[in-house]
Amino acid sequence: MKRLLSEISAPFLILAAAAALFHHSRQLPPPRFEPMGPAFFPQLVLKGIIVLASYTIIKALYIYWKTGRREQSSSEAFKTAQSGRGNLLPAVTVALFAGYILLIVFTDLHFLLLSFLFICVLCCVLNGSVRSCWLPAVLSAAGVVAAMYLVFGLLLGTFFP
Amino acid sequence: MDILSAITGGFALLCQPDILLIIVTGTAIGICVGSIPGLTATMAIAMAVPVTYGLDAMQGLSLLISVYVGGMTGGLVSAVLLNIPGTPSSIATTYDGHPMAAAGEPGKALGYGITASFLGGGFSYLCLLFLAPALAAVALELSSFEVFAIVMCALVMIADTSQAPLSKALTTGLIGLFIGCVGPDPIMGLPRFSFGSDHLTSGFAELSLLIGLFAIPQLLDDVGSVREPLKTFSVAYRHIIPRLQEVRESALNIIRSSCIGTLIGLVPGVGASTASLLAYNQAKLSSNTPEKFGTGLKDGIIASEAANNAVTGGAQIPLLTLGLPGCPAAALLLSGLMINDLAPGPQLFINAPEVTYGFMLAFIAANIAMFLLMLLFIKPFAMVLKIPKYLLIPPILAFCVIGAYGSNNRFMDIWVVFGFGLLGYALEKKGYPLAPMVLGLILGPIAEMQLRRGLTASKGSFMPLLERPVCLVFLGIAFIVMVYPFIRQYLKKRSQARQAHPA
Amino acid sequence: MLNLSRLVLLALGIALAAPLTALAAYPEKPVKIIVPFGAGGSSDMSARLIAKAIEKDKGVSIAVVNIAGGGTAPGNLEASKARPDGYTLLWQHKTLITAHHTGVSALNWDAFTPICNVLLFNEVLHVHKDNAAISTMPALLEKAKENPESLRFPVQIGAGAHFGALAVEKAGGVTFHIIASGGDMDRLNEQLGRRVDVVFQSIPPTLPHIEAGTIIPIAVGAEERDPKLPDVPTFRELGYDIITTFNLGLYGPKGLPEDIVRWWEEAVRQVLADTDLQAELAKQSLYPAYRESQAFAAMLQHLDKELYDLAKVGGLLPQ
Repeated sequence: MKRLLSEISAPFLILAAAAALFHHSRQLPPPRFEPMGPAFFPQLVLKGIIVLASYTIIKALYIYWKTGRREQSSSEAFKTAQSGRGNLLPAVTVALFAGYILLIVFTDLHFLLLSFLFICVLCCVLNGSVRSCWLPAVLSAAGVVAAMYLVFGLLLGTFFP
Repeated sequence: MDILSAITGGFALLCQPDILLIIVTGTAIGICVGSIPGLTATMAIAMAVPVTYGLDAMQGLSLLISVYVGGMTGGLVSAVLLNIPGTPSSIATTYDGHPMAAAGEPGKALGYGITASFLGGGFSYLCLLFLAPALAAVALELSSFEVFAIVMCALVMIADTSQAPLSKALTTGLIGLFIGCVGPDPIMGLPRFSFGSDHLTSGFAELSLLIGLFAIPQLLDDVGSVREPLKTFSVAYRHIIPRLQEVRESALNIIRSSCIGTLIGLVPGVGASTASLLAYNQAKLSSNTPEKFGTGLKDGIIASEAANNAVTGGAQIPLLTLGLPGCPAAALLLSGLMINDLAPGPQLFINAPEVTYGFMLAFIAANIAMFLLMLLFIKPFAMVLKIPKYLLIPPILAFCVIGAYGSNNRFMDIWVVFGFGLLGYALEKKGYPLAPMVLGLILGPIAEMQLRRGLTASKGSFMPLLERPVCLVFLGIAFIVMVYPFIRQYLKKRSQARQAHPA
Repeated sequence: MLNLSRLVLLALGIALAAPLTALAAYPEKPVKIIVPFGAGGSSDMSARLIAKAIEKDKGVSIAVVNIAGGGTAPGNLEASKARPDGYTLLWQHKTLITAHHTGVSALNWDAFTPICNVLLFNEVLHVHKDNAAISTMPALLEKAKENPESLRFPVQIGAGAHFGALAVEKAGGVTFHIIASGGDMDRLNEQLGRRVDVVFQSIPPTLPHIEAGTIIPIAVGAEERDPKLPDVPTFRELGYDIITTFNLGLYGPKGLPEDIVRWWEEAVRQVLADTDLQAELAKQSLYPAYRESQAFAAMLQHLDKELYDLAKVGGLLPQ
């Protein structure tokens, strides 16, 4: 049962989102200069998504009903091939990345400084211990920040947030 | 002035030490920039434009051209080594390039890619040199309906190219098509799906989506495996450069993919990603072992890379003969020409033939430089894989942020990278492939725009799609591609049934 | 007592001098000019040329920032939200107004402080050489009258080009078959491919083809003949009131102080007088068109009404 839920949760969310967006798309203006108009194409796409998501859900339910457990289909193989090794690091990385972006967007701290800190910290976190990696982390962070300044600051003339 | 003396004149302009030095340097810079995820070939050219202000015409143009050629090839490096395409045109390269690298042969994968890029590009530059006027006439015959048919043909292929189950690939493809709809309506310009937010009225920037959907999930995936020991592999040259035998075997693939790339380059606004996708799919259709595509087959790498480099030559044809740039990179080259008082168009060949042919020959020179430099760089590039992941991942993440922000100075772009990165990671964990999504969001808006434009011209009639020959050809191919998997499955089942019950 | 009055005089002196010192100090930090167009196009290049010239002339630092997309609405919005301290300005042309009338942008020109007009570029109406029969205005209009909504006229729906087509329709009392297309290059492509009949677009991309004879220019929608096309008459000369000149100017957020406006007026006036810059601009068919803020505002007001009327007739107003 738990497996069934995990199998249909994604298509279910996709279905719900598509249905909501379809409802929203009714507000789009009618066609003016050609017969399709702004709504035709998105609505067609959303209908397709709804159909496919429903198909996935119904198929999963059908198989569950027939065999009592989730079938070892090719999608299972693909998924296990892709899945991570089930540790906390991706979550920690995401958290640090989010923090980095929040600091960039909401504070006046310069991007290059924040990047330097972010790279150092994340390197050490990913490595697991600070002692063995602080030097390469700092060096690479410095190198990267210098490269960014060169490429983006001088040559492209972009502005750092 | 006849063509032979013009070519000789162009050659003379080209073979000066300063020009050759610029070409080698420019190509090297282009390769470096193109291989970093988050930086694209177009950015590389944009970087070089201010440098050209102080240079004379041939110098400036050689720089821009060599950076362009290098940048287009650079995308192959991160596609193969990191599974993150450096540019959208290298998406199809990841399908077979990365699996080959992951299986322990990164040098070989790079070798195939480089050789294919060189041959594909070279083919298109020869077309540019000798067939430009004829091909330009072809390009002019393409109306919105033809462009729609071509892009539609590529669209039906987006779900067929991954290893994931068809229903999930189609779902993500459609999701990608929808994401492309967020933003200004292609005809009226009024915002769609902006939910009243100022930030969404202009839609999502393509580069941010690319970075968010390709780089972030891949990097998070790498984070999951960061503690694993690195695989060993060999980068001896005899393992890298494809043997002449292999090149001969792939000759048909190379020629076909180069033709596709050159022709797609002629069509304005379609882009190298369409070309590499079409070429990949055609290679798969003509192969004896289509099911092996996606596992690390060299034919996949060759098709994709030959096509995307062939686009660079094809795109120059309308640029030089008519002054019509087909993509942002070509538009930058156009400004490079204009700054030096060289107005491209029919008169350019008459007014300044040596520079015109020098321009074309510079592509060939840059192509050669690219090939040699890449062979030189393969070892250092492959060494990237030896860098411990914990040192590699954080800088790439930082580059992703600035790469997204840099083009339009909006914080929204950074959020797009983050948000879609998480979304992509979650979808991938559930077995949904991301490549169709990215291809969908690139190709969808083009297809919709061209169809609706065509409809204004035909006053609402869809008949031109069935009347115009080029449209019929591409829609026909699209139809075949759509039904082919089902036909193949049906035939396989029938032959299996026959074997099980010999009558 | 003497000390107190000295103190008062000192205070008075500082109070009077402070605005002067502020003026002398502006700009203290880099000024950001928002260009709501893509990098590399002529609208963008023009901003950069002017900015560079002012940088050199006044010794200040100017940063040109592109915020492209969304029909220029996001760029306009960003500029309007900035503080009116003279450190964020906008570089725009008539799209500021047309985007408002089509409903793409919530802001019109009066949400900003018009500083001064700087440059202009013109558009030319042309036909393909295979269509030489309609290569004069009278012939074109006659054919259009005989076949309403059939002469194919590509425009970018809602953009300046569309308003240009509507202006020709209005002045000639005819209707064309308006086709949705893209920017200058797309429309030129349509013309060269003989998929359309008449195109109205900016001059630079057309020049090589006019020289080669593939394209025949009919008239230029400007007050005076364009230097690049000296033999092509203006619509006014032919008796039609069609002016579609794109005027590129500087705008500031609402409430920009007078002295900052004056500073820019003077800076622009000075650089436009430089003949080297004029030559550089002329290469891209951009010409000096200085108007100080009052005249600029008057021009915008007139343009606003004109474009609104065209939008109404052409069915472009938001429904």
